[in-house]
Amino acid sequence: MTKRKRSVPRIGPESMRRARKRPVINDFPEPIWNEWEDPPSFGEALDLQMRRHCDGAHRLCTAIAAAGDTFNWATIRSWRRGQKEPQSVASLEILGRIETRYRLPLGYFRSKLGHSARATTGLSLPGVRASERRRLIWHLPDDYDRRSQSEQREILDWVRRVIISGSTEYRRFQALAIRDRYAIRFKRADSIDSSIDDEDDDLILEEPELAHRLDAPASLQSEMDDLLNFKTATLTTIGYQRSGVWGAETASQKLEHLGLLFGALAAAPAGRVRGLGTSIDNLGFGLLVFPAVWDWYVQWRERRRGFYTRWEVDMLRLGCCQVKREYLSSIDSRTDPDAEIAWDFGRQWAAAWKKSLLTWLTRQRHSKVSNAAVAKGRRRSS
Amino acid sequence: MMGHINNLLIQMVEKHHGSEGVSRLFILARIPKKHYQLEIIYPEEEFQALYAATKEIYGVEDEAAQKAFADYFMEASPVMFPAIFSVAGNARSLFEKIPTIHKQWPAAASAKQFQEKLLILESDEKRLVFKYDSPNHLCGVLRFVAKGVLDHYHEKGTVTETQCALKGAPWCEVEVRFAAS
Repeated sequence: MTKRKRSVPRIGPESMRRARKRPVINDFPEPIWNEWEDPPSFGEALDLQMRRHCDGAHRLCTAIAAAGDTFNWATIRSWRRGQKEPQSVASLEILGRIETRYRLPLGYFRSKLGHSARATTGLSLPGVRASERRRLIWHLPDDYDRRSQSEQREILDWVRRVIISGSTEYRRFQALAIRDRYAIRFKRADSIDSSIDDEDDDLILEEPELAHRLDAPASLQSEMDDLLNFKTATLTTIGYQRSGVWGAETASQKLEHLGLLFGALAAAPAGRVRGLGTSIDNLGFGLLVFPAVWDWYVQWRERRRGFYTRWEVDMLRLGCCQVKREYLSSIDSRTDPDAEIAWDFGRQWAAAWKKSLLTWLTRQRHSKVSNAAVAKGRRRSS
Repeated sequence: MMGHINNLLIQMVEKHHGSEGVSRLFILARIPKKHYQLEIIYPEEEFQALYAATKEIYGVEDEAAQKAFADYFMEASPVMFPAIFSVAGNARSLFEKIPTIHKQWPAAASAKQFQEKLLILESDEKRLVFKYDSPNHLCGVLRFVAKGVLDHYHEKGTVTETQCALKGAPWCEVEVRFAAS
């Protein structure tokens, strides 16, 4: 016997019972107002233009998406909120599409990016080593990937000949930096190497700060190996905890960064590097639990460059990882007197510094943006 | 005074009076609102102005203000410095660590300005004597914190100020007597 379906009384008019129709997405929506005060930062400008054109992140993403795009609407949301800024070639391409959709001048959003001094990422350079790539990429046009192979070859040849090997200011900077090499070289069994082969002069030119002839002492090398094994293993040894896993690229980068850190600690104070002068035999990761070491290093970095960068924040983050509350039980004051004091201070200081540096970097970015806006305004008025 | 102590004072006001209280604190102290770097040494006058403003906000006399600050110090410190409290293991060990803690705290940038205000004159199984010599006259805070440390480790003992700079002595002395366990 089949059960008869009970008829449910329908409530409301027919139009209410239909699925909500999404409004049609126009390629070039009309703005709802035409006069606006131009915001200085990228996030604010994008937010304003999206509101002007009644677009949400989803809607805008759908409107500008092209076949094969892997672009996500959440990225637009993070740009709009000022959490991230486009940096890759693909993202800059998306920016161009948004400018076209809103009928804004080409490069409108790009001019508002806070990190205009940063190299574009995402360019493909097959056959070029990672270290050389980092140097070349500063000098390549954003549309490098879209150019013909012959044009790409011509550009690469020119950059190598004129900028990298020529007598430009950049080249002079490289030559000076080569004289002041200070990084310590870590070796790794699986071919990740923090430094480069001294016999390869071209490579020394590429990474001058890393091209030190000083190999890490055995004890430091062994600690580094332990750390790398710990951070790159799929699973940790039972009883150990870690915050985050390093992939091959991160591991290679950390080798370099820690090589620079230990190199700076070991460099002679009277030399051009003006290091801390720690004996190379005394170098060890245990030093990194002492706030005074970080204090010196962060200030040394600032003195050397003239300003702080996100690099310092990342290094402090690495320092913070070593003094996590969960690792408290690993302190042994019998073998390391006053280690608990250094450990606690390290936690407090690194956290505070990280916060201060981030605030400082944000301010610096905003001031750069507003300075650029003021300069632009002046240019227009003149 | 170390920026850390200034920050603790501000955090205490924020806990009880919110961000409006903090704004009022800076107005009363006649200091532009700012965040102190915890490892840097700031002028004593700045701390004294903040402390006076705190008393005004709470509407209490000096003794009550010092008690409130000591209570907050003992509430925040074990959380901020778990390794020190855990490794010390008892009140005496912690007290004896104080000179090292103070010496290690200032940043390289401030190390030259550092002047120890708290010294240990005597320490044996029965008692420990602090010498406190500071223009801030926070000997009350020292007394209450010492008692707080005994309580933290569930130890019995007494804390007495045997001489006080505010009563004409050249400096303050605080004696901690440990009860036999």
